[in-house]
Amino acid sequence: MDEIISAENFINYAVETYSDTVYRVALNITQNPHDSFDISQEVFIRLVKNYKKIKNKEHLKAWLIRVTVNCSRSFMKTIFRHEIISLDDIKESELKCELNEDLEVTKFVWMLSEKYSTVIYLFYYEEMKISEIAEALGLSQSAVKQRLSRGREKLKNLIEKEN
Amino acid sequence: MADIFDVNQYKSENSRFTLTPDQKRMITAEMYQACHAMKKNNKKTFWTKGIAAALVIALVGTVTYFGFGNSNKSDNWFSIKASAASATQDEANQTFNNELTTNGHSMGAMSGFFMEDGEEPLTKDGYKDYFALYHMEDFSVTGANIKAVKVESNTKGIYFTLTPSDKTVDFYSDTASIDDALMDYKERYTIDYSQYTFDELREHAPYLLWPCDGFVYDNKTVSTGEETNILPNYSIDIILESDHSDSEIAAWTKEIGEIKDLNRPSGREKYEPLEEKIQKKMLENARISVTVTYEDNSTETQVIDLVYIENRFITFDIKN
Repeated sequence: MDEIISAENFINYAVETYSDTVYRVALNITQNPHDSFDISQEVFIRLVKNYKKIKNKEHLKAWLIRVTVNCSRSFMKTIFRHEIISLDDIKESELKCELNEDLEVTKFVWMLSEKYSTVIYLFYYEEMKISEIAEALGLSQSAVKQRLSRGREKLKNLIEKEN
Repeated sequence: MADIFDVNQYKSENSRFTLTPDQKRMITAEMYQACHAMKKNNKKTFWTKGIAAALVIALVGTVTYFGFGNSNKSDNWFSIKASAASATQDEANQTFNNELTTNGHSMGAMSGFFMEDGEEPLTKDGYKDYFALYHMEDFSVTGANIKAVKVESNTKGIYFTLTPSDKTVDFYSDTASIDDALMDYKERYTIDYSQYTFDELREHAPYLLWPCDGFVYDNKTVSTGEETNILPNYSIDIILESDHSDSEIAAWTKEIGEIKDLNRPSGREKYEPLEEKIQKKMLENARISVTVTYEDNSTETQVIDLVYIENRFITFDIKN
């Protein structure tokens, strides 16, 4: 990216291809569209600074997901430091007002701990393989399987309880 | 599961979450701006605090990388990997994960988010665990010709959890499953935890948590002579306990609780520095030592010093 002209292709490709994925991964953790957009911005700025580390398209996606998860976690820690927000507040204000959509299934995934919901999102929505998720999150494949297994079980319990 | 969790509905709902064209243009514009800034002035003037922190970690990662690179000189070698301590530069953005504590509170539960079954919102007392226990996920030792590994810490306590990741059982709540896993584990490895009874261990934590003042595990599998991944089917998490006294921690957490109870903007100014101060103190001079005994009985030790950077990153500096 020594020349801006070559950087343009890279930037356009990255944003067009992965910005929605980055946004959704952040949204999965923050459950807030505005915060998720802010996080998306930060992630792509980081990409500019770190573009030399990117080896190929697959690595780009994995890198973006990992940095998004880390940024989102850091953001949540910041929120935690600043104020206590109850789960009810989040559900009511963010899910219904901000997103203004009836999330019949996603709401259960968002009730899970982030470590489970992220893996479930990447597995089911992004249709990533266990090995790809492991690479993206910096986990062992066995750890991903374990989170997926426990996440499914918790999801099942939540849905059954609701029904 | 397929009958209960409607994957198609889940996909349909998530597909609605997209950035608007304007938002994408804003991101693209900011990237161009950053790109120009880099080209124009390759100094720190435009770095955000967070990026500066990330780069500091990247530097630590670089040191780590070369440290391990040099250790692989002979047939005997090993390296350590965890979610926060890695031998590759790619891991530089990882943060130390202290989201899980022995009382089962997740970081999310502490902040009121994502409460799981059986978890209670964090009280003032609950902060004690938050500040006193630090959690490193997916610890593993990889190398060649390894006979045994010993992990020690200079902190008050070092614990590890063992998860049989290739099983589909609910490992944390099913005693029989734990016993099965232990049996399976014992067939392949030995662990020195004789100072505690199993009941004491179970009492200490709701899920399997083994206190270990220097735990040892021997690899009973036959070495292939090739790279041997210790505990290939298990995920080990290490938890360090701060050596600060309970009363010391209680005083800090009481102070934090009082500030947070005020629940007003002025509390923020006091709270952030206080939390950072506590986090720094908790990990001050904390160190993990990993000693490997090779098949020829030679040993090698690598030391992990815990370093707290900025107000949101905790990472490692690994030394030979």
